[in-house]
Amino acid sequence: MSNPTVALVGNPNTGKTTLFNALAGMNQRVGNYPGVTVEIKKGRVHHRHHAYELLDLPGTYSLAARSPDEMLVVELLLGECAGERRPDVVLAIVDASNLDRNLYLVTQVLELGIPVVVALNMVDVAAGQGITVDHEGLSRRLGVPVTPIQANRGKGLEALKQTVATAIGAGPPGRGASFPEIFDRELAALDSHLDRKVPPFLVRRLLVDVGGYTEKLVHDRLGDSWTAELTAARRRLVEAGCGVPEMEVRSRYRWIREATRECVRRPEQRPLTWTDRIDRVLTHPVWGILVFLLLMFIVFESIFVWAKPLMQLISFGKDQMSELVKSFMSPGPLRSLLTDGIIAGVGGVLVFLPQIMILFAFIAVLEDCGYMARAAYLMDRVMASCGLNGKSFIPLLSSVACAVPGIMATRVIENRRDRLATILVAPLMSCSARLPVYALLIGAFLSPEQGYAIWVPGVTLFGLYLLGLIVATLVALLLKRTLLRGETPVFLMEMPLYKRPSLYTVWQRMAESGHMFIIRAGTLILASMILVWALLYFPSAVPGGGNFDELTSKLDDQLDEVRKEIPELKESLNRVEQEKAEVERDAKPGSKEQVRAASLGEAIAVMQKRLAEHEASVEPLEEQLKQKQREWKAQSWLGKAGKTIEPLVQPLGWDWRVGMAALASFPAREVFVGTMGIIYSQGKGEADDENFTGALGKTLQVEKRDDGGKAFTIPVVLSIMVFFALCCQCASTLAVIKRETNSWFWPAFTFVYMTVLAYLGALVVYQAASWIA
Amino acid sequence: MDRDMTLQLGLALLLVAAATSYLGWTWWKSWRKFGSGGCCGKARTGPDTNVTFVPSESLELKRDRRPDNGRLSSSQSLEGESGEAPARP
Repeated sequence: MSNPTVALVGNPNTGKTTLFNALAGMNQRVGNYPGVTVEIKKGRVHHRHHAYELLDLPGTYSLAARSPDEMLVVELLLGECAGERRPDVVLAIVDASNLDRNLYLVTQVLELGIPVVVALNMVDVAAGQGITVDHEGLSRRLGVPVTPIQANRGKGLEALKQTVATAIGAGPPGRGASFPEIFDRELAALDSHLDRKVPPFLVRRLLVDVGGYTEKLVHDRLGDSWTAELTAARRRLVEAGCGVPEMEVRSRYRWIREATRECVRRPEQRPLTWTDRIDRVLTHPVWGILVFLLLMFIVFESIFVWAKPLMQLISFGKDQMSELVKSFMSPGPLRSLLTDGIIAGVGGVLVFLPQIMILFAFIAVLEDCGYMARAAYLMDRVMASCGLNGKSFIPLLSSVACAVPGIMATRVIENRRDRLATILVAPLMSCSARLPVYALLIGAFLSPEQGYAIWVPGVTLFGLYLLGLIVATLVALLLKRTLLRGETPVFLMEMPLYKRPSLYTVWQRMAESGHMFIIRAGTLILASMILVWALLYFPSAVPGGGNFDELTSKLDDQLDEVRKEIPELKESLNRVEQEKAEVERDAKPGSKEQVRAASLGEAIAVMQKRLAEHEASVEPLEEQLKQKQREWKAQSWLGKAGKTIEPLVQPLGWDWRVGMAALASFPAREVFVGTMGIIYSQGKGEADDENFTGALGKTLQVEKRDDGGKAFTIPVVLSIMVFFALCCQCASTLAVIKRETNSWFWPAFTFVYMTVLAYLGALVVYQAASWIA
Repeated sequence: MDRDMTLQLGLALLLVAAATSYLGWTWWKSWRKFGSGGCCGKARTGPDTNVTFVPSESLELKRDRRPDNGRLSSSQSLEGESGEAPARP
């Protein structure tokens, strides 16, 4: 027999997931803003030789479901959710500092006929506001057990587990709020009209929820036969002064006031809290926006500054590994695959791991301290101007980390059109996969090492993120004026209290992002890199016989030898010159020392000549090597395909190599960096410790086109970054759009419109920047 | 081609074949998961999760214009009609 099931329900941001993690020992993501959980999460709770399944449900203010995440809660509580049985106990978590509003949902849950346990959370926050709750008195009034807890500190959990275990198998609780007599009469009449085919709880919701989910559910089951009766019943209720849905709100709050009158003590006046004081600045229409912009600038600048030492370390490790492989393997396809394919490609992507982890650390801090909800509030005006509201901003902000959870977070949006519009524009937000592309190009071409001011990298990166937001807003505006026309709903969002971010939560988020990135690099990116390498390596035969690999290896060895000899020669020359100076100091005319000094002078002349020859031979050798590599790459399968598409990307300032790297990055954007690493891995410049993008960045700076011109100029770099800011090079995003919309049309639409937008954006930027330059 | 070169070529081709198979398998898995309507998404999120384009005069749009149960609309005050706190923030 399976374990009993306990469903955890409550208003958004009351600590459900924190309690779930504490009870079930899980590590589900928590955040200090409403709407973090949009799916059911399962865990198992063990208590004194017994176990029960705990389900963490999305937060909801009422069982009058409107958004998909709320519908999920109702379905599960009614036992209508496919694959899940009806819970044996409902564990309702309520915020003690906001009790009345939280009890509204509890009064509805009491009518389900399932045993209910109330967890009174945040009693410490309530006490800080001068609110005290007599939980025993409240329990008597509600008719269900009430246990005070502090989920974030793990207090009261043992007592709660015991209470839940006792409630399993108990009888249904008593009904909470009572409605006017006429309502009960209409309810009985409707129930009889429906021939008792619908559970009593649903009949009640059907009568109360005007335009709600229940109407759709009953319509799916019984057709339209009941609609006339329902409309008549609602009309009679209005005529009797009991119009729905207002009557339900009035009745429930009246009952809640009665229930809490004796057991809740509140101060006469609500005290001014730190949250109120901080909000005066952070939600101010002018100061709030300025603080938001400043915060964003700090985040993006820090990504460059703080990550630098770690990135240098990874880059150094990558180069050392490459040298190690070269030292014990003779030149050949496998050595090329390991060094030029896997190490250069995957290693080139892994270099950006510190930046990604820092970005996620900032996101976690902003989420956990409660700032995200304020950011959404500030952005409501901007969102409203394009027909969306602040609720759309949370999914958009989540998309900065990754578009996949961002798109899933749109389930909190009630209005279908707004939800679809948000899904379609969410991929325009710059996600962490774009960060390596931006960081590579900004680090190589717009860094202080290139003569730019220290703030330029941060501002450029911020500008790219801002570009995504601006274009997303404009596209949403267009969609809401054309395909998805509809009214802008009113934005209502609960502002959570500010709190000190939990170091554990921040670390958990960083570790999770790092883990995901490494897994991605070790699977999808690794496989893509091997494939790209093969396309670039084969066929490796030189026209007229021979092998490019052997040819370039020989030239490479020759070059390495010459490069190695130059410092040795310089050192020897230095030593001989010193010796000559010492001999000359003590030499007398005609002495042995003078003869020796003369012979040393001749040796110096020979060494200087040799050094000059060596130094002079480096550049032609390098050029010869590069020429051979260019020929090799151009005749490879990737090169031939690149040459075919080159006319298409030439207006953007790209050559075939950039075009192919962009094309290869369809599965994941990071593949662009890896592909560039492979394409440019041979003939790279010396690793520069001062340049954190390492050898690849250095190589791109000096790389030339086939026609001899510089391959990467500032207009080209801007054009590539704008393309990646706007394109939809992510198979996972398209797959999740398909899942959320249940249609192939919308992912196809998203891919096409974003690709066209990215191409046009890159074209305009390149042409305009070239004209200015 | 000497033995070392042949061995290197063989191993490199083996890795390329493995990478190609992995990519193909990943795509096939994604196609099965998302292409057939979802193995878990649809069931777990309810029928209304499926966002479809709705003509402007449909029931959906009319529904969106109405004040919700317990939810504030632009025409309601924060305290509700009879002084009650709203059901939703």
